[in-house]
Amino acid sequence: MDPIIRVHDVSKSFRDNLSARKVKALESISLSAEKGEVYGFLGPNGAGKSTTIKLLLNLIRPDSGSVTIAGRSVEERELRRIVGFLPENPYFYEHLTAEELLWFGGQASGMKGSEIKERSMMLLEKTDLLDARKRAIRTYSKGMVQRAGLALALVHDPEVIILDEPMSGLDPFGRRMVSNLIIDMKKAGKTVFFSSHILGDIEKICDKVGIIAEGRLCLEDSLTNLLNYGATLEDIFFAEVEKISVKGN
Amino acid sequence: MKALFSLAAITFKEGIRSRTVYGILIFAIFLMFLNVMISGMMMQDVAKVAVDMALSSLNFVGLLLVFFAGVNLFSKDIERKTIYMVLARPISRSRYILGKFAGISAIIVFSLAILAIFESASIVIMKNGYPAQFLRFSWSALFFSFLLTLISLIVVLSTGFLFASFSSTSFITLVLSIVTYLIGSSANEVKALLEVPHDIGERTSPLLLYCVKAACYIFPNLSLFDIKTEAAHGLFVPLSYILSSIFYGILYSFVMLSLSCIIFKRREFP
Amino acid sequence: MKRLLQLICPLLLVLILLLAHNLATQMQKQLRKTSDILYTPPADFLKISSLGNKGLFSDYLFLKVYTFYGGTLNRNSKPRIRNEEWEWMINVLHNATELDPFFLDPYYFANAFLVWEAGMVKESNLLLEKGSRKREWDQLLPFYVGFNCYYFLNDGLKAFRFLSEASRRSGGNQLYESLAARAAYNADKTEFAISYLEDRIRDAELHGRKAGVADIAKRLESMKAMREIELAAESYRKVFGRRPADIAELLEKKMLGSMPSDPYGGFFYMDSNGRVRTTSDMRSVKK
Repeated sequence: MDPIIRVHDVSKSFRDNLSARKVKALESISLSAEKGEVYGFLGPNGAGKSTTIKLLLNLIRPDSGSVTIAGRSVEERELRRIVGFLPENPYFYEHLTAEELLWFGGQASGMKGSEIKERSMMLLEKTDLLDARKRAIRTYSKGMVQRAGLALALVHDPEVIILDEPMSGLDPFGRRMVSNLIIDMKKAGKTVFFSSHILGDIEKICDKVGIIAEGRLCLEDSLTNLLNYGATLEDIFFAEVEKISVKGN
Repeated sequence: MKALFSLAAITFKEGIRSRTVYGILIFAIFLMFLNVMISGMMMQDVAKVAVDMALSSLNFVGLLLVFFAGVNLFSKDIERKTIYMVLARPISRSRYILGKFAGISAIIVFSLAILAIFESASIVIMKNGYPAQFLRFSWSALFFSFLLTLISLIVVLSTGFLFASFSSTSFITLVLSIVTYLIGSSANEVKALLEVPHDIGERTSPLLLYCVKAACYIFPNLSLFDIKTEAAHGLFVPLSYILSSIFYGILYSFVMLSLSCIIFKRREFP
Repeated sequence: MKRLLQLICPLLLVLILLLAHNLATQMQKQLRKTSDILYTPPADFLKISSLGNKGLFSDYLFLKVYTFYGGTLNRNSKPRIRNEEWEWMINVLHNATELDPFFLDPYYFANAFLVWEAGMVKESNLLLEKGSRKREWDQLLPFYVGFNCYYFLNDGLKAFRFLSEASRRSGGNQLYESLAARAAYNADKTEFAISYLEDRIRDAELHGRKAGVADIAKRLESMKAMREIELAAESYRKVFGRRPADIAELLEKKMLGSMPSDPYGGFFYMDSNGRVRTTSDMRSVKK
């Protein structure tokens, strides 16, 4: 079976604004996630996690290589009907309420009004925002904003869910809630691709792990395979990242 | 279409609830009283001054809205990355631009409609106080001037969109669109001024004249939307003039938006 | 103690702020005294910088003059308003009417104060002529121009032109009509006056206006009589090579068939310049 998320030999560099120098962000990255898998994307800050995720959403375009979801190029607009996305540190229109935010998400994804209503109530309950749903997002705490973003990513019942640092800024309750949501989605046969640097969370819920450092993918394997060697994920992570840094210097 | 409409709807809601709009409305009420006060000071032409004040304050408040609520709503979207939540949906970049533009235009139309009601109220007050000075006053001329002012604001907004489509900070967008407004609303006068010495045989540098002429074509010629004098004195403005200015305004905005769409399509949002 | 300090400190700050402000405004007054405030930027510059709000700028300029004039009413100095101040006013009014040539108030102000108080009739008339040209529906401005020409400048021909224009715009205002005829007559252009009045009567008949026609007809009759005498005097001059001393001489030498009668009840006579006049001065004389 073809992988549902496929990044093939992608390189990406950004132009530094001040000096016209190009800065390499990704160097021939290839990774893939099968349908129904939970893919944990690991890496230190600035390794290229967010860049990779933005490539998946067509927010930026690769210099070379190809990015496909469900066999279709990510440049296809209609593809995003089946993709849900939570940005890192999400920031929404602050005068809207969570309910209106979800209404927009549903409308923009072409859902029917009644369907939106039903799904958003369910998601608001799951993310514990039911009481706050008529309040402006401006009044939310950071965790509440994160949860609202999660509800927005899921409102159109996507097949592929891409989450950029979904756990950051959440308290232990919030993190457990996100974990449970991801497990629910996996049970429903969805594919979840999420980045994080909180290793413990990944260890609990992932099927497959990719580790990225300095724009290069250094390891991609199923979690069971990795942990078979008896090491913890933490040990593997440090070992891989250090290997790259030594090579780089 | 549904996506475009829903984006316009949340843009409108977001803009209307922000404090900028409330502040501007309070300012509008203040301007209404100011209008009654100042036009009451006149000896003769009370109607003219009342209409001048009404139209100019509409123009001024409209500009504040365009620059500080309108252009900002778009460029902040990019700056604060709220655009991610929109572009992650099955919405094309062009529809994003159009939806945003429709939403912001709706905010401007809505706020200016309220302002126009206040300003009309001040004119009604003056009209009842000085009926003899309002013999030549016509509501239709006032309405058409309101309408053209509105179109000119939409044109300015569209230039703001063009700048926001490639600049990375809202500040640069703001500065560029204000400069465009300044040039657009004065270029015609400058051209007229430079052409007069030419007619009476005095020499102006032809290069300068070409530059100004070019500016008149490139920048929006906002003087076309200025029929305030005609409205103030109840002078006749042919419908053909009004229609041709509206046509120009819509076409200019269309070109600006098309350019922004083209630029925006290629843009990346790291 | 702390509470008291919290109360006093802001008050003290406000007090210092007020003092500082006063000091600064005093300094500003000193500054303004040396540099002359009587300056107005050129109209072209204002046109450009108004950014499409020419009407509003025009209002502002007018108000500036108007309030300046109002401010001088408390002055004790003699003359109350200096010449350069009047000049500044007319310059600003000129700019105001360049920005909005249809704005009535600057013209009105010029006529009311610059003409009557400052005696700047010629300068004001230039302004008023512009207003009369632009406000083509307005009967008041050509009337002002005509009146000023007639009364102050002794320019009967120009007065006639503007007064008849005022009369035309007003649709036959009798004051304007009689003034126009009088101006033409005073300009020694009795022919003008006659053809003008004939035209007025035709116009009144055309528009079915009965009222006032009798008055015009009466004036016309008087003018025609004077014209008759004028023509007779002219032929007398051709024959005898000199002006007749009086009308009686014309009758004597059979240059004039009979003494025409003045419909106003006065008597015609010739003044020292040889102009034909009437004792009634074309106003009804009570007998």
